[in-house]
Amino acid sequence: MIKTSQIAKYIFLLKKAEFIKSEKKHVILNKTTLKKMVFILQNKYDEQTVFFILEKLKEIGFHLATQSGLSLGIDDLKSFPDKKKLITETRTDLNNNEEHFLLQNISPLEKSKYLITKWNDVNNFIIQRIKKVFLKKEPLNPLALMAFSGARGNISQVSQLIGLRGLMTDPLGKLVEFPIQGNFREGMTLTEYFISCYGARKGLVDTALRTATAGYLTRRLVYVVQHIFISIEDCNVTNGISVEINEKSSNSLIGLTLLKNFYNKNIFIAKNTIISPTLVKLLLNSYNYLSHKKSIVCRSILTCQLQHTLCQFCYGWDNARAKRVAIGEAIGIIAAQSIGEPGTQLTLRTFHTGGVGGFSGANWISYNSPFDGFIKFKKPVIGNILRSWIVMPHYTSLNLVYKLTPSFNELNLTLFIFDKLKNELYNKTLKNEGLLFVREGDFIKKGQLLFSEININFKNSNLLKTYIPYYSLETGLIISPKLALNKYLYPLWIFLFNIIKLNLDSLNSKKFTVYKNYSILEKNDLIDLKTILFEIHFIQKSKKFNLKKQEYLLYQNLKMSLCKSHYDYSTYKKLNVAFQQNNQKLNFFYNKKLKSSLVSNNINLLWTSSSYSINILTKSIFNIIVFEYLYLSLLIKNKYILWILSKNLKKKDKFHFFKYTSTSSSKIEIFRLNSKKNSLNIRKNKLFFYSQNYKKNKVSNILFGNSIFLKFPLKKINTFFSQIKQKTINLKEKKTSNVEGEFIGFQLKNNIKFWYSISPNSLFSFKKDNKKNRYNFNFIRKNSNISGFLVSNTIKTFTLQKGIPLIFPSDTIYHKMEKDFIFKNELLCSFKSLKPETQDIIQGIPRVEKLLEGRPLPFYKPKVELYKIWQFFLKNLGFLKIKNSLFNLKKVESKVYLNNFKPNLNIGDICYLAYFHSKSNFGLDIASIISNVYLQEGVNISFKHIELIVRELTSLVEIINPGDSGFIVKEKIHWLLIYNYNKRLKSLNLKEISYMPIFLGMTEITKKKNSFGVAGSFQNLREIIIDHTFTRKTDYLLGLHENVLFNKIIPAGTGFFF
Amino acid sequence: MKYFIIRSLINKSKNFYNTIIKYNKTKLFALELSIISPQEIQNSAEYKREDGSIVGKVEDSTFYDLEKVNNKNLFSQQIFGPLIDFTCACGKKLNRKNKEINVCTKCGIEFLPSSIRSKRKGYIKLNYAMLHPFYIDYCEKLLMKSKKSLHLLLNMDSFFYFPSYKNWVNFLSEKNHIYLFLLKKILIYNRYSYIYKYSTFFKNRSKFPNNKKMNKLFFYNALGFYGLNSRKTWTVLDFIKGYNFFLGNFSKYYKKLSWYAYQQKISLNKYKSNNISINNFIDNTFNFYKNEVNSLCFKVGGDGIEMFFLQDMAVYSIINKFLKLRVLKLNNLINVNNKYYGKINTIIQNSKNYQYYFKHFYLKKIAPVWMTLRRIPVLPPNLRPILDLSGKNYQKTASSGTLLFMRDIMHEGNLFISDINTFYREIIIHNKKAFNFFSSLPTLYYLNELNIEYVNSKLWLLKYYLMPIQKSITSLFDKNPETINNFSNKKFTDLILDNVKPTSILDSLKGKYGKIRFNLLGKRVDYSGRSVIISAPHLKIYECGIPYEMALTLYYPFLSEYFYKKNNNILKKNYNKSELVLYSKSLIFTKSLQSILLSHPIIINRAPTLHRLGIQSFLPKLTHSKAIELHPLVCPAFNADFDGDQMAIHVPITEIAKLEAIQLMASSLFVYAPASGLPLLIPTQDIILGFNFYTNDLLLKTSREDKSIKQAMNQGFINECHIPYWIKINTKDIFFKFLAYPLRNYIIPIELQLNIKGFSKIIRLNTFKVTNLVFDSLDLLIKKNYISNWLILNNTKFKYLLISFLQNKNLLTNKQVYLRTTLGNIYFNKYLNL
Repeated sequence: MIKTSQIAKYIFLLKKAEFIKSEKKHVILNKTTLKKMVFILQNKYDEQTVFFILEKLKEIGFHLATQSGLSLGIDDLKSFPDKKKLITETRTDLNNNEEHFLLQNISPLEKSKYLITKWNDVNNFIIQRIKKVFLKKEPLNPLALMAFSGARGNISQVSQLIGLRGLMTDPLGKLVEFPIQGNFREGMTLTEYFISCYGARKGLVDTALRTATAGYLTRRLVYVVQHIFISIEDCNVTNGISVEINEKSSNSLIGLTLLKNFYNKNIFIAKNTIISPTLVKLLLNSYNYLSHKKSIVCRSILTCQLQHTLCQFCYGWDNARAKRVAIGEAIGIIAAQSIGEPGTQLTLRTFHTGGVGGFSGANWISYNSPFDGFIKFKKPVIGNILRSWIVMPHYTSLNLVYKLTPSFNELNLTLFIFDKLKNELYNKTLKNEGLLFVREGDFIKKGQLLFSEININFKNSNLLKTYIPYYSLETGLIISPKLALNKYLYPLWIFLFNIIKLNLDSLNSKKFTVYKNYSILEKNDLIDLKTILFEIHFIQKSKKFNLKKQEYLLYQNLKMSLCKSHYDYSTYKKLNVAFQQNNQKLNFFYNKKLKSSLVSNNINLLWTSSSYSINILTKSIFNIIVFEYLYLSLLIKNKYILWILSKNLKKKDKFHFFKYTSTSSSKIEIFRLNSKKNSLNIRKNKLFFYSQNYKKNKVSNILFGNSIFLKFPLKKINTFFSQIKQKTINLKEKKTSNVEGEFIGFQLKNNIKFWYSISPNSLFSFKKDNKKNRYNFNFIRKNSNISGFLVSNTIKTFTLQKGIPLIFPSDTIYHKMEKDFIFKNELLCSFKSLKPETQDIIQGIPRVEKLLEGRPLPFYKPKVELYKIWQFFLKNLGFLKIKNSLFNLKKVESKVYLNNFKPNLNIGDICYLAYFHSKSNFGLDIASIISNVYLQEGVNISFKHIELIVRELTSLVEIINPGDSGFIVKEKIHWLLIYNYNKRLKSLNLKEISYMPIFLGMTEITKKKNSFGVAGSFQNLREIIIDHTFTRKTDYLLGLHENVLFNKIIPAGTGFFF
Repeated sequence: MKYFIIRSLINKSKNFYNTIIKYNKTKLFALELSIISPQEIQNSAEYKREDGSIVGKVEDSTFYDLEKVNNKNLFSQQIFGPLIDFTCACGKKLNRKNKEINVCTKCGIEFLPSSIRSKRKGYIKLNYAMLHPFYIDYCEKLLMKSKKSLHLLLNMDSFFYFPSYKNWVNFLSEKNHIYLFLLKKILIYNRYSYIYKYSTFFKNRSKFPNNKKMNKLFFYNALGFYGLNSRKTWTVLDFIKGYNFFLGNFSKYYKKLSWYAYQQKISLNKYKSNNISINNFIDNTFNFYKNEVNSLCFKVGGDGIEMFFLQDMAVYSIINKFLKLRVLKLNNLINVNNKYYGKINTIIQNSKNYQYYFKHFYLKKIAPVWMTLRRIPVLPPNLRPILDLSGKNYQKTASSGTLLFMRDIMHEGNLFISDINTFYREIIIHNKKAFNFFSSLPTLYYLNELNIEYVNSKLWLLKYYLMPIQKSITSLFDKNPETINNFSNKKFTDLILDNVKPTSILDSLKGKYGKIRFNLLGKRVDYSGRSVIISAPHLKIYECGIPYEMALTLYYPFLSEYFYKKNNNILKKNYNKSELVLYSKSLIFTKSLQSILLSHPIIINRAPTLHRLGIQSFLPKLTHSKAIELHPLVCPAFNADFDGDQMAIHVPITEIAKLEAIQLMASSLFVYAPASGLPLLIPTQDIILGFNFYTNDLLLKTSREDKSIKQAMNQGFINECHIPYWIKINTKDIFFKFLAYPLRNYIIPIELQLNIKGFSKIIRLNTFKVTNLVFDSLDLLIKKNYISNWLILNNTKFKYLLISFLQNKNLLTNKQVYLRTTLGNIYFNKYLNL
């Protein structure tokens, strides 16, 4: 017995060590720190003293706890201060997203994905904030004390009390798109309560279910491995497994035995010694000075040479005693128990997230910008445009994203972020492929998503596609103009039975004379929310304004540009560019005449809005002109074809079109258009994209005229709308009109904008021209449901049949035909999307179960992998010829050590070697996967137990060629039996057996056992009786189970010696 | 029941009673499960008594008039043994002097212990073969018949016709020349058979080119059309001339089989005493069936299937013959031009899916004919008891210890009768009925020529009499309709008795509550108790508290022994009042109990015993509460709370058990978890809270001096626990040695700097940040004995590095130094030093 003061000293030393590691100013004792301390103490002292210390600690702990007098009251639950602000921000964000949905910029799937990720982000953010606040400001809050010390509770529970409760599922397993914003402290609303009730009920049910499934898992495990115990000291194996010596692998090293003598400059360790933690330290220290050869050859359970039992050396040490295992220890049952016991703690989950999992942090590495600023690339960017579900509301309208693929040269993309004053703030080089969310010259806010790389591990997995059903929200008639042609972004319509009339008389007023143009749209046109019905130019009735000419605008072109052939619309004497993607032609029109056409393979549209991107191209081609506005450019696989609509401000009447092909004979063709007055209009009104010249006027180009553009920073939009609401002007007073509305002026630096709304949802936009007096007046509808089918069109009225446009991805499968009626909640179509996006993420018990039963898992198929490894080794031994084996050589070789490798081998030897390799590699892989599953729940399981079970599951072997033995092809027999047969056959100069490894599941292998007692009491008694009676198997009563059945002393434990 | 017979491989004597005795005495080495022949069933159930009579066949269907003298019913004393120990029905008892007389001369009952009624079996002889329900699927696969034809046979809607009885006997006797015979038969069958399509081929045989490939094609066509073992394929083969092309493959196959046989023999011969050659084995089976097969020439149901199997068996016999020749390396003796050489090979080659079974049939001497039943074993009567609830005949009806089977018992008036009895009874009744009827009508079945119209008119009689036997047999073995309904043909469900709910034999064995898992694996235990647990922090880790009353009842025998040894007769005298005396908690009992408990460990178990830590042993301590007291540190291993959890107590009795409990299962041994190797005995929950609360630091920048700290320490102000203090401490004090480290980073007021003396050099640090590197380098200097100690002081403006060189080693010995800690920390340290 040591003195108490010594113990105290030791504890202080431990504290000191902890202190130096953590670099904190003070050590606060925790559950984890206490655990470490006790562990070290137990290694240091004998049992008596350790128990003495433990009792002491117990006494002190209880004493201090009583003295502290901690209690948890309602005052201690202080609500999170910034919560309201956060929620309002996210709400406005999501409102914008819904707007996008109405404007059919995004499909319904994309919308819901965005919502889910947004709320999850909010929840995570709040949890982190709570941590910070508690640790900094109130470390003595009893709630914080309990949660962070590990005494009781969790951080997630704290967040439920104080923060958000977040998104919940409904009984069908879908996420409800109504997050629960309340918490237990503040209380919840009625709807929130009802939604969260399901989760509570499910929790209760799940605990009941979990015990059952976990119990079944342990039962199966026990039946597989029940007969294994330790019988002898040494099995005389010559082969083993090599383990690297790292700080990472030090935990897995502990408890193994050395196969060979190990010596070094510093150390000599005799063979068959067990590696203890102190030895590991020595090894680590000895390797600090050496650079080469950092591995040790050890014995392992997977390579032990006994059939029914194991030897002492191969098993290593007993975890419970930290000594060599005793002979007779029933290891099998210990292994099964220690895997099965924490099964109740594991989750019973398969997520059905609609794509959140695929893009979440595991598979994608995302970079956010640390500063506000402008973006600039170093090199031109090559890639395709994708739709992504990530919508940046103040950024792009189309939410298109560049998908970057590595070209012939490696992808080295460097992003720069500049200040306003062109000071470089940030640069980043990207090497892997991924998604780019930014364009050149864009203004970027702090924390905005720039780029997301694909993880390398994720990349190798095969991506499969799955379908997600979509149920319609309305009843109506389905009309899709070209269902067969339905591709990217082409809308499908559902028509309701409402008919809407719009009167335009009300626009005439005393002050203004209005010139309306509505003849653009014709009967039977489809009108969605983006289309602008008409444009009005008006002059104030004072003499300042004079409108000379009617001008027409067709914004439908904009839609046309989204890949569809709409060149019917080019009826006006204007310039139109039409694309017909289906025929893979690119047509260029001028004055209704086909000017040129171009056949291409794969047309993707790339919209650029700024002048920077031209430079990219011009550098490599010509030093042409630096354009102010680049309207449109096309990117074709190997060729760059650039269509440029240029505007020269000085020479108003000239337009230049350049065509460039990057083939070997690079040419530039120039089309020069004759100047007419019509062309002017194009320049002014038909800008596809308003340029982002932030230098001139920050917010000038933000217009609802081009309704999809919302280039405001978020906050300003909010203020903007609030101002509108405050000032209300009735048009009624000024002019006799049937419609009530609001008329608001809103002033910015130079330009004045007016908003007029017929109904509270629909809006007009005014824009004051720089040339004074003249106002462009676009009719658009915002947040209104006025979209549909144009029944009739007069000067004064529009009559529409109401309809809802929907867009779906290109590969969707439609379950309804055209002109079918669809009812509410009826299945309309099913999306196709990549599997990692919609994958059911399997966790917890089901994952372990699937692995051990040999059923296919996403990302990992054990049967296939085992076969592959086997093939690889056969190839390596010169037995098989395979062209493309997907294996990484180093990865496989590192794990196995062979003692006597001969170049000339028989078939039997080759089979044995290949089997040996594949089994050990495969076993280690599976062991790591399963232990990871348990680690997610905070449960530690040593590799031994899993290896033991895998050893048993791979013990049977399938015969390929029976040679001269009496076996039959595809018969499944224990490998050691065949190994011995082969030895005999070889001695008699007969043909040897060749075989391959198989991985059988737990239930299959128990059924295949020789003992009737085990197999019969497990499952399917009828089958097993028949099989045993037919084949007349003999049961030699080797396991524990059989001996219990037939009333004998079990061979394990002390019974081993009877 | 013939397939459930587990036979010990060592003893295979016919005397079943003796085997049981030997079974108990000898070491059970291995077990085997197989199909056995009806002959063997009869042998195992029959018992030759000393007066020469053979007993075992059950004939009567009644089972409740037990007192009948010469009955052979399901519960008869003649067959199964006496109801009362060593007494016959007349009331005679065994005369111990005259041991030679074992059987009562009047009633013919042996003088044996009544426990033999749970061991001795009987058998029922069936006059018509019936199919065992387990093998319905396999009949189809092994015979390679189409489903339809088999089902028609089993439902007794079609029949297997055998032209005459004489031919059948020849068929069995002349099996050596079986093929010649078979071919003749085949031609006869073809005359009456239903297939005429292929006859066109025979007619136009000469027109086809005599090409080997074409012949092969024809052969395989025939195979595909009729199935492998059907006779028509053989006829096709006969017409083909070039059958020798199969020979090459055959030679390969036989090699493999022989090797395997050789290996298997080596492994099996160690344990097998009987070494009958295969030919003998086949001869025996044929001989049995020659006597057994009755005169019916219309084979229906199980009978028909039996015939199919017997034919196949003939084929196997020939295969075996050839194989044996090869093994003996008598290659020259085999006539290559033998007709049937190739055919045999084709059987083996084309039956790849069932090769596995064929191989085992051959190697382990199993005849597939045994899948049909000729004898049915009858369970010992005590395993299917009758209980008389009126209590009059209780002792006679059933002996004790058979209540395990109460689950399968159904109620009939005052009697409780096990279900299985009813099935046996029905089998016996219907078997008799059918036999009586058909034996009275011989003319129907001895027809020499087939008159189909006549047969069809009388065929329903067969179905009427034989179907109930099949039904009752299926419901005896496997009544479960799920397994039978798997067939596409729904008529097959007719095989079960109508409206029968009671359990079959398979049902009683199956599942969680079946005999195997419920009764053989799980066992109830004496010397055990159960109670609620409460926490007891005052105990040691290896101790637990048990309530007084519990201890009394558990250790009662030990107590009485204790007093007996002391010649204290308290318990004996007051035996009637003993309860009152015991529960009075008098000092004598408590003291004596305590002394007993010292040498008796206790095993404690919590209900979901998911791992081995769920059962641990403790040293018990008497408590006067009514709950088991448990140490709080052991709780995580048991996964126990004190919110109403219950635990079970077990008392190991023998010395070995006690030793094992102490040495292998003691709670103090489970320090590390076997799953991970991490420590299990760890302070949790409230203990951690206490630690955490007291070591917590508010990290305020302001700090006080130690004016009132001693007061605070003495009075224990909790409010001031977390506020940092500056303490003046002697360097000699233990605290300093171990608490000195926080000094590094903390700010020391300038006034205090003056008090820190003994440092030989003070360096002002302006330029660089103080990192861990600096510390490490300084530590290195200490190691190499350049410096003895160092400190860093922070001012608001500057940082100072204080270094003391070796000369001033006495620095830390006896001087006062300022320290920055919290009061809580001091408490903590103080408690640790208690």
